[in-house]
Amino acid sequence: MKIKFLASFKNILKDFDRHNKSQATDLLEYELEEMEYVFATLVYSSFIGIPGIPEFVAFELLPCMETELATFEQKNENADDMLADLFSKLSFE
Amino acid sequence: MKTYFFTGKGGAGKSTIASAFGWQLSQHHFKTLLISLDPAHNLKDIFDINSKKSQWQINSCLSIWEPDFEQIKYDYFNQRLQLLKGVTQHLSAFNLEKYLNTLKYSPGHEDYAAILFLTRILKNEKQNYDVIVFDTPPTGMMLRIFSLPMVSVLWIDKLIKLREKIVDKRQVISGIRAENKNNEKRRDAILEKLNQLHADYSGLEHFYKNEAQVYVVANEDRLALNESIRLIKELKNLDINLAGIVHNKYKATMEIEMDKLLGCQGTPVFKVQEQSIEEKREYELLVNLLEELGIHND
Repeated sequence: MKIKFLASFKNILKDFDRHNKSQATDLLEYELEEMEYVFATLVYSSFIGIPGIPEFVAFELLPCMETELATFEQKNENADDMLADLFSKLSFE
Repeated sequence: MKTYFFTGKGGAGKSTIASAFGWQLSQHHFKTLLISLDPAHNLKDIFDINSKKSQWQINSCLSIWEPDFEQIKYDYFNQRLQLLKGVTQHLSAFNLEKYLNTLKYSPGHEDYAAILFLTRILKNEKQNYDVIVFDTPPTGMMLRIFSLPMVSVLWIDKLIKLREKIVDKRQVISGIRAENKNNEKRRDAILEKLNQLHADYSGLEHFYKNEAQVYVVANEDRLALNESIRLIKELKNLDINLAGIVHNKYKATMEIEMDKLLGCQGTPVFKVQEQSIEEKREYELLVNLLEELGIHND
């Protein structure tokens, strides 16, 4: 009984720790997402009419860029409401 | 192994000079590969060869090669598309792969196909020949072939710096979350690809600047002269050393100093007399050029 209680307590502490760490990394993750968006924009700027890197360099990178392209697409979808996006990331209510 | 590029305006005589030079080298028992980088090839016409083969052995020491850039481009896109389909399986559900397939037929990109071909040649054929001679496309395309690796390296440098920051940031996040207890650097496919592209293009840039012997073929025609002046300026901007000028269709009666005319005094000038091309159909030209370049087969 005592051991079970200690194990549950340990799990609660672990969850608490995980939650704290996740909160601590939220901002960093947002920054990372923005950097990935900038990277994708630089590589595929010709998609949005800005002259950029030689297109064969972009084409060479294309097979490795699935995640970045998904971020690029999602960011562009939210581009009309950037403030809401920022507030939701920063957990403003 | 030495490499020679004969550049200049269309019609200046690049192909004839390059062929004559290759022929002469082979007569001196140098194992020579003569390559046309111009999509509108005419090496086989010069050597009177009527064949659909892209490679041909002229004599025991001379081979010519007219690469099919359309095929190189097609193969390249095909290979890349296979890779792309591997990571975007879901595209097939919407039949989008059909659209991707049309990329293979996109126009242009001959300059990139030429760069792909050049990289392959320098990797695979260097050890098989004493000399590789390139007959080049007209000025505009050749300048793009010269400048693309340098422009790409500039961009790739910037992308690598940004990518390294992204990888570091990812590392920090996984460190805080204790996902990566040993703090090992994770592989990043994009960074690896960028580093590989950087190595390839810097290698080509180094080759252009330090190993390639670039000659400008010019004649007294006003338009050819003006284009040659612009070409020489651009080569200087790209930091590519001009090895010499080939004064084609030279007339002994006219006292013209081609190096002064082209604004590059002191650059070696090799004169090819007008009638010599017509008279010596077996391409026994440019003996002087070989001697002055110090090419001796010991």
